[in-house]
Amino acid sequence: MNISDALAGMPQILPMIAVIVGGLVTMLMAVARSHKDPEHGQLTAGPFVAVALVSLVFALFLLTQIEPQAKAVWGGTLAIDRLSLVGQGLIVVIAALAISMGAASITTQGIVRGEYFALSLFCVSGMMLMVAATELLTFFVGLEIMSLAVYVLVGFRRSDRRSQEAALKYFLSGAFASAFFLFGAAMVFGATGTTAYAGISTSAQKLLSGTAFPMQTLLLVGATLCVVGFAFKIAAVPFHMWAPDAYQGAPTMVTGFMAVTVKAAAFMAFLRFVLLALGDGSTRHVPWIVDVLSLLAIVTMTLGNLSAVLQRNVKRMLAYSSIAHAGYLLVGMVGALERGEPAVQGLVFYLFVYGLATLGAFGVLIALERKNGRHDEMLINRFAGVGFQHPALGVAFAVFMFALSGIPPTAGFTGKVLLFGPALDAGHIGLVIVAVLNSVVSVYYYLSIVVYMFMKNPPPRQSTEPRVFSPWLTGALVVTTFGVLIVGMMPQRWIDMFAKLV
Amino acid sequence: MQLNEWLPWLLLLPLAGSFFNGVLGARLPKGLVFFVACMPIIVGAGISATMAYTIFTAPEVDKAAIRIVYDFGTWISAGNLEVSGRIAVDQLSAIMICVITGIGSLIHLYSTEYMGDDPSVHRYFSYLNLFVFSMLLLVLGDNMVLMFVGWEGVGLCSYLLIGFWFSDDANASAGKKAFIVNRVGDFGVIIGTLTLFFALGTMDFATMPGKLQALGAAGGTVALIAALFLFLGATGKSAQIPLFIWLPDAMAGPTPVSALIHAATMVTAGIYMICRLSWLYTAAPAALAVVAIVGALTALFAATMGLMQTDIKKVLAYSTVSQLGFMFLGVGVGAFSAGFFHVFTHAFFKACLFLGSGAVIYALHHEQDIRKMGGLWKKLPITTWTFVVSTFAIMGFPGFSGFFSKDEIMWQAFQSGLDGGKLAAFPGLNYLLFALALAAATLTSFYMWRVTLLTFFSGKYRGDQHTFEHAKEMPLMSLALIVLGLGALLTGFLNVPHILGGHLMLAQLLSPVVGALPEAHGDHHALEIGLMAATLVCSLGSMVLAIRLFGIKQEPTQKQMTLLQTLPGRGFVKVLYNKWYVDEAYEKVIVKPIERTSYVFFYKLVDQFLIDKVMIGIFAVPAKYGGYLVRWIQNGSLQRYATVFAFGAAAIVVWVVLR
Repeated sequence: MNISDALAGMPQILPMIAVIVGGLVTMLMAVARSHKDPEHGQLTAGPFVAVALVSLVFALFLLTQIEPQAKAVWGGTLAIDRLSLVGQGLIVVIAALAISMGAASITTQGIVRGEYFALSLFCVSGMMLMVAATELLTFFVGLEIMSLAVYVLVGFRRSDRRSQEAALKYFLSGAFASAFFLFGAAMVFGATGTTAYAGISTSAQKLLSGTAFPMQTLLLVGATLCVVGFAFKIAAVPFHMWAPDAYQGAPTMVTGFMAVTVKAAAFMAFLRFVLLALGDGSTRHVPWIVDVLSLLAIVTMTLGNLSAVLQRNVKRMLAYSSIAHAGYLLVGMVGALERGEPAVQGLVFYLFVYGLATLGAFGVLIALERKNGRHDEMLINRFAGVGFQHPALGVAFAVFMFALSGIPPTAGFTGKVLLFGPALDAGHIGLVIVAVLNSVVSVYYYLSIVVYMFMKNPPPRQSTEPRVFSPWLTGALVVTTFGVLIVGMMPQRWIDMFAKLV
Repeated sequence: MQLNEWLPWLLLLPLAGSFFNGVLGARLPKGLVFFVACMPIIVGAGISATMAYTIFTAPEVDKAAIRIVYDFGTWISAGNLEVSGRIAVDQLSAIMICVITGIGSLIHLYSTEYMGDDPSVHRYFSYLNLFVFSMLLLVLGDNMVLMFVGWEGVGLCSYLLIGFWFSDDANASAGKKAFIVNRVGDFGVIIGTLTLFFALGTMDFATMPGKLQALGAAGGTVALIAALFLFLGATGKSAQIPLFIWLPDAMAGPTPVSALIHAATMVTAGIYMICRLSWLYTAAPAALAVVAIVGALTALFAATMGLMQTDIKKVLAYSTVSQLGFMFLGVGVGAFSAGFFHVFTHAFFKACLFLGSGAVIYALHHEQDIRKMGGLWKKLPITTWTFVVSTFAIMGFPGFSGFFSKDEIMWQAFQSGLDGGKLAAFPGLNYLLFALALAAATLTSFYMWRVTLLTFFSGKYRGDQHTFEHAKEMPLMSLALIVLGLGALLTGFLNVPHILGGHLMLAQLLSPVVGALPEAHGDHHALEIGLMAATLVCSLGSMVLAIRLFGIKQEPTQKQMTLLQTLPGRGFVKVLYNKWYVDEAYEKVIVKPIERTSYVFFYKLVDQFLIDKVMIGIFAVPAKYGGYLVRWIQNGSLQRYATVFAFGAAAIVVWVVLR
């Protein structure tokens, strides 16, 4: 790669740069302002959110200005095809909503610090890199930028032992998974002589039609270990065990952020890997990949849902719910491998819908948090009667739960139809039946919260600590609630946004 | 701004009003609530009037094709199902939106006084605006699906408003009854719509007729099936035999609701639908005959039930059912514009009657029993005279609106069997239809004068003197009454028949949508005049009889009064008073068996045994223990997590390599 090549690729990384600059500015603001407000010892979140939103919106604007093209830039490491641009756009939008919601939470918890915003934005830049990467090492760099930021965010409530424990567990298992991934990447490199997806794809086709040993085996084992690395990030069973602890221990705004953006980024990078490195976009060279993904999908959905049924802590329940959703998305990925373009459209559309609904649900949890909230705040019986005390929040939460269970007229229904349809078309009937049965099971725990909210009397003694009103949170909740409903009722133009990604 | 760009606002304003009052109304001052509720409808009335004016004054060449269309884009696209979000105004819907928003505005204004003291008045107006939105969607929707959305929407609002005072159990169950009975009809609409979709491949009003024609001979069968099922829906929404039973109970709702929903607009949706699908019914003469017979029977049957009611609103309710029967008779003999003309005139005089009864009920502090009224003309002059005008209209007194519309229907019913008529294939049917209609018209005149006289005249007030002294009229309520009374007086002149020197203007205006009025061969002017005279003699006879019985200035004699008081107890009269025991029959034949089956089969067997015992044993218990196992693995120890991870990865790798 030479200078002129780099300059030619410059516009394509401007969106990422915009996000990073936003992160740097928030960091500097924190330094500058921390001396100015010694009286309360605390900053207000407003200016930080504003800067973060400006940089994200600007990044989104830049993304819309880039003309998609098939050829990768930056020496073949970054894609600027529609999958990359739309994927980055999706992450930026969801992250903007998540950061707006987080503003309320860090205020309630008394941990307004500039690093929160800086880390979130750096994390977003890493995700954008992951989604665009067409090469194993570039992907890995993006993955680590994202992961390191998330580890810190999980432990952001430093005074809380559980938050620390969650961060440590997540960090250690993350390091473990990264090692698996790198080992796999090394083997793939050994077998194919390249780390670029396009090169891997060509060599894989050759290797897999030739003799089995040793290079073919090396490639298969390496690719499998890479898949394991991805499976860890999307929290697929049995590589999910960090997720419940991390989700529960993390501050609520970080849990929401993680459950949505990290999953979306990992899934889109995973999608690109299996489609373009282990296949060539339309055909797949590695026949076992569908079986592995189907198996992962089945155990992930089933275990996620069965565990969620037993939970009494709503945050942990939503963690298992997000594991179950990783299973559903894997069903969509099986469809994408079999059917290509329309299935990819369904998968990314579902990521969007899942993002709105899950973020919304966490937003409601944030809105219900109290100052100096204790850890059992999120137990399900604390939700009794909430629907009458805060009707708007109750109704919004019910909408999100209906969306997550896939009940019309919410977007969750449309999303699941588009997600499972291609897999069904391709003949994976058993897989889709398991997925639908799992959706049925999930209705139980989703609606049980709604039942508590609207059909049980509030507990006699309640915390009198005030809740914090935040316009950012309110705005983000309005957007997500109406988003879930409008996308559900008039889905066509939203579905069209995700057309022709590959 | 193009005219069609106003069209979405017609829908969105009431929806926004409903949302605003529903969400925020409880915390706002009442004045603002009233303003937010009334403005969308009044503005909508202006928009509707402009559109109707544009359509009806279009140059002669455009007249057939003119439509004002707004497209929200594709709503649903799945496989070969394509549903557009298109709304359109044509001649038929132009008149409907004027009625809905025009009478709707008056009723909204009326309600600000009638419902003004109710603590949850914001909820009332939220529902009422939502109703207007749904009703407009019903008539504006350019395909079966949008129409059905509106159809269900008005049903929902009707349910909510009938049970508005839901803390009283009777009101709540009246709402439920209306909803459940309508579900039966809606089921028919769904089947009819799906029949059309599967046979024709489209649900757009514009393209369906051509597709049906292309089917050739098979089209007749399709049309018959679809038309009959859709008519089942119409009998539900428009309260015809066999599904009329909900409408009398619906009087439990606030009186302005009865006027708007259960007299002027929603209950006419069935007639609107048949007019909209006139090409379908024309293709299925047998279905038309069924519509006509059901309509005529309902007209008479409901009129007999109206004879002996003592609740002022119940009388009007049965009268509505009966008048709706007339409308179905009109469309059933293929005279779609005649039936629709009666929708139009009826909207005015029946809304006026209902609002008049509301004014009485308001003035007398919720007294609804006509046996305890009388002599109110001194206290409520405007109410009295508008009520009298409307009674003249409904009995068909020459010059009043009902005269023209009812007479058109009766003549069309008679001539349908003449040579070249729509029902010529069913010889003798026209005589039966005419006879039923004549009997119904005769009874109508009697029971309407009975209720008018007993309420406003018949000598002195028979109730509590203190209440009488304080009875008074309210300004906005009176305004609504006057406007509607003028409508009852004048709207008939829109459609004066040829023999009276008119040109059937409304029929001509509507002919691009519903086709021209059928004309039998030959010259029947003498016959038409003769039948008109006969009808008139019968109605006037009933009126005179009613005046003799109940009196204007003089009070009914003691004997007449005792008769009135004890009437419900005796013989045939008791049967009439109890509405032919239709409700009881439904209870015995349908409700009880369903209840028993549900209890034994669904509750005892399915719910308690299959689900609670068997299914829980097979699925839930193992799932629970499986969950415990998972929980044991997920014990919080990082070492165990890493072990599971490593073994999982190893298992997959081994599986991949060995296969």
